[in-house]
Amino acid sequence: MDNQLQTHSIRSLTDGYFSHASVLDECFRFNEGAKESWKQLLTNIENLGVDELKIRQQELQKLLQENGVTYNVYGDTNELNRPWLLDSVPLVISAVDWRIIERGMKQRAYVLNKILNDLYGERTLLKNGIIPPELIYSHPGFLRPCDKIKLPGQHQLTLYSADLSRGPDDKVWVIKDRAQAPSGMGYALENRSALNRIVPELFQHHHVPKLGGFFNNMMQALIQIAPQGKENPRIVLLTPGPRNETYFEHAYLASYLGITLVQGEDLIMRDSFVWIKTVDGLEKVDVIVRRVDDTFCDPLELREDSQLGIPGLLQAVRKGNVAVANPLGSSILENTGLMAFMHGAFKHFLNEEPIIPMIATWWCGQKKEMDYVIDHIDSLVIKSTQRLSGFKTVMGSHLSRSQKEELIRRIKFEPYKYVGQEEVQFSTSPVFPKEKLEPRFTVLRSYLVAGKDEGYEMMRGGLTRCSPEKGSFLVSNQDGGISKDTWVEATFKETTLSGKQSAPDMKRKAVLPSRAAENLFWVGRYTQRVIRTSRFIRIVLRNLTQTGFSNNENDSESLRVLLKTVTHITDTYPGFVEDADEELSNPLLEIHQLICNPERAGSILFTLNNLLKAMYAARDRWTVDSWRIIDEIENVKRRIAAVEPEGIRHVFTLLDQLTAGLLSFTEMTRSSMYRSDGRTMYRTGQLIEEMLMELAQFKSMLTHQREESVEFQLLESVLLSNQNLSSYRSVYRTTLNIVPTIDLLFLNSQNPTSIFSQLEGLLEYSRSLAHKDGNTNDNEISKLVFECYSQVRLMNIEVLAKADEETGSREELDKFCEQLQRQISVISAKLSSTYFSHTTYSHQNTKEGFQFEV
Amino acid sequence: MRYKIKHITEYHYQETVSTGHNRLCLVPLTRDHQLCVSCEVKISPTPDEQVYRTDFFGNTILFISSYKEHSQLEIISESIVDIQNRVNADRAFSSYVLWDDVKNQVAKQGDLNADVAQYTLPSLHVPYSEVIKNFAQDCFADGATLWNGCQSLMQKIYSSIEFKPGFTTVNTPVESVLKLRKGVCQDFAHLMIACLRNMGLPARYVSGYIETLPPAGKEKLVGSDASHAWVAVYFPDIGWVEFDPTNNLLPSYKHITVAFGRDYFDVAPIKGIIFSSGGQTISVKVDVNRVE
Repeated sequence: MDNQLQTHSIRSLTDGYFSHASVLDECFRFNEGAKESWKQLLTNIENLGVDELKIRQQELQKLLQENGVTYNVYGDTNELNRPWLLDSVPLVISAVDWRIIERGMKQRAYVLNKILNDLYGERTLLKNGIIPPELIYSHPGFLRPCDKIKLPGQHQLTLYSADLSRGPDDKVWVIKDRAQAPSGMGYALENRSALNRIVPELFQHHHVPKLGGFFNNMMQALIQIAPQGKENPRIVLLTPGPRNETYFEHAYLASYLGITLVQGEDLIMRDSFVWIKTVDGLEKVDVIVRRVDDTFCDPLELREDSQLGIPGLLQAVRKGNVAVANPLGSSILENTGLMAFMHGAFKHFLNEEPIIPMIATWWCGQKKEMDYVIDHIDSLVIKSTQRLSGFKTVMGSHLSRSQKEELIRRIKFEPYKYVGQEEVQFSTSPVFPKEKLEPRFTVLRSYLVAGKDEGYEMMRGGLTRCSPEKGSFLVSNQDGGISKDTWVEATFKETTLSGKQSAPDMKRKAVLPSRAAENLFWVGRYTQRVIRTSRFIRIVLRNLTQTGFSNNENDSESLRVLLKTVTHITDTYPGFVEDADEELSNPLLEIHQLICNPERAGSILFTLNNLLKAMYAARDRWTVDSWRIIDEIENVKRRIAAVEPEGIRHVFTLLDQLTAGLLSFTEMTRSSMYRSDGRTMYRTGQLIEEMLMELAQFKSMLTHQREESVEFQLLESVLLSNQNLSSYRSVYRTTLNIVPTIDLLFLNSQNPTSIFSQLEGLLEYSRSLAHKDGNTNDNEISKLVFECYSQVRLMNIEVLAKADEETGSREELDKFCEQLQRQISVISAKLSSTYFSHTTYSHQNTKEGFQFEV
Repeated sequence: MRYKIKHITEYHYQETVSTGHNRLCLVPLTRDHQLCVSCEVKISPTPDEQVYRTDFFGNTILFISSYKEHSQLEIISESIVDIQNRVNADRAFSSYVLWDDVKNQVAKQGDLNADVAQYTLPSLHVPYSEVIKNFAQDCFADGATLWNGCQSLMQKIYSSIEFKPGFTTVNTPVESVLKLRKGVCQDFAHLMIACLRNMGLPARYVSGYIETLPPAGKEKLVGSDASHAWVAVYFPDIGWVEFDPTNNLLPSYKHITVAFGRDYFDVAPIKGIIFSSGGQTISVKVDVNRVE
């Protein structure tokens, strides 16, 4: 490599890089230039040019946002998700470093597996005093109901992950262990694919190892633990749900691995087996990959207040009928106090020293160690032994005198809860935030999975995270860190991926969990509701702004009917319906509310929020392209929310954009979602909503005969909002009239939005659900649909169109609409009770105290 | 002494229960002075699954599940238990071990049985608390024996807390019990355990039954007995020594042990989850009768 050439351009990128630095850097040696393993990457950056890198960095962020890559922040109710930040400059790990890391991590995984096995087995570590019993017994991660439960095979620890950093001695250290449900590997995958797509130039002359092999190994490991050596087990990924911080990753991994994404309520325990509730009934589950913390997994035997688990799960696990990875109880390995006793455990199980050093740790549960921590509090980091204790890690040196006294008091009161760790300055790596590279503290999360014999396979890469601020020591997703792709320097080019390429679960019939079915159904319904409402309100708004209000008697009568219809279809009574003089005198205010107020039930934004929630909950079902559209819809939503009443005219374009977005989402979904129960549910929801919206409109606008010009305007609006005006003109070639309008809207089988066509569609879908398992008979739902279908087919338009001569009311039509509305609502309710089983459970009461005294 | 125990629990559900899982801790232990001759747990409607196992603490747990719709559940546990006088209390009475020494022995890990260590730590119903420590402090003077300490603590709790049902539930924090000065036997037990653990001493929760005698000249009423709870304290070289703070007495042959645990959570007689939307009522009857 030509060093001369490189230094010039890199100098502009790194200008001032070392101005505050006193710590090691991953890429640059102080005043010496870049390390060998980084030189190719820096050359590639140089060839790309700084200006181009800036552009790519923005594109990278845009792509991730469009792909819906997020990290949720708990308690952030306004914005459900936060964008994931990815730096365009990867972290490069030299082949030499990696050899040590890999050997060391495999050694550590081996020992942790042994520890886990021992703690839920013989507990020789406690009996022999290698680990103090209090350290284990005081930790909420030690789950007594899980004692003696074993997974088949050599491994209790299926997945293992640890955070690594480079210490001041230039060695890589273990910072913490993650052993119950390690997160981040999905983000690592997504980071790689995004970087590869947006900045492929950086990869030139690099043999960056692919990540796919690791996931094959992971699938193999999951198959290994299946009960009774089942060859083709059903594997599910258990998520706490869309509100969880890493929900994106759960959905992403589930689709990548081809396994079913489930929540606790999708599963039940019965006959000591675990089953998934699907629209086809119950299907047996063999392996659960969990992302739910272990204490939340079974409200019967573990945390009673959990709503995320499966009551009775432990019973099925004990019987060996279902395997959970990582096993329940493995969070005991995340006890930070264990760090202080790892040397002993390495010696006990391997008679070796740890290859990778770890942070010096003092557990306060021992008198001498507690005294040491208190005496040296200024140079230590104080942590809880529990990950989710509510105690925020603090650096003693950052505390005021009174804070320090308070902390010491707490430590003395419950010493076993705290550890002190030496405060270490870790290395930085270059991040490209705007103009030039800046050093940021860096942590690498590495991943291992159970392999052959007692060994482990390691991901050749990982998830690198950097501190969000220059000079800040905090590196965590909760605080908004920046992530990096991770490149392990390979000395040779990989030929093929190791391990089998099969995705085992694909051989199984895909199942649709009831909850997913329900979400898809509601995505269908809400999509149509938003489209329909937008379209209608748009027509009303146009009328309002064009004619002005109350200029002309007839105009104002038709407007009044239109406004009332708005109230009817959005279900926002009283609105324009009753005693609405005030509303009618200034209708724009109410219309503005019905579009832009997300708090108002029935408003467009309100429904849109529900739609986005349902989309998000079913996110493993959408393609990347669909996500891009969803992201666009989110953008439009934000702009609609910002519209002021005075600026309501701007809302036209926004409503158009919203409808266009939703229509392309519908199109995309229709073409990409293969014919399956999921598609049936989605389409069924759409059809039901369409019909309900139409009928509400018809009932409000057509069931009263009015003065000719008013009637004309109303018919025009109805046809317009159903996008039938031009077909009316081409089919009937008459002026607008009630009889042909009813024919077109209800009966015309050529018109895809006629009630008849939609019922035909609904009949087909309801029969496809009824005819499962070779059944050829209708079920209750398809019978109900058929009933509606027949009524419409046999309807007598002449009779329905007839108006009472005195009152002008078309009573028959009114009744007909109302009856259909009611029947379709019943169908919707039946669907929900048949296919979306809702189970609520509660705890058996206990006698209020044992009441006894001699 | 031989006892025949009948423990009946009945649930009535307002809405049908489609599925119910229950974890029963109703089978008396067999231990040094106690032999569980027989125990039969009858459940109606008959559950679809019944599985016995031994838990972490050595107690017998029965797991039952019903998948058929039901609107009531009856659980009858009938057992025959032989009991001899507890000897540990006598041995503890003549032991001169100082409470401070036991505390230090516990603090110096490794000297004690690893299992005992967990009974000095807080648990769900038994927190570390300054208030409770202050309450216990004067029972454990410098140089007091563990035996005297426990005795005066039991006495103090007995005279400070009024036995009164209806003021507390299974989830009333033990600090509130101390404030209310009212409670039932498990509140007495939790409070005494909390005091001991806050002093650094190992203590555990005992769940079981106690034989009662009718007022003089009256017939004993059917179903008038009850489940009971008391405390065991660990004495080095002796083992677990039991105290009944609700009655201010040392259990001898009238206390029948069902299970041990850290607190109520580990050994609740019946813990369950029902899939149902409605409420429920519960009734419990216990009979403890001597068999001659």
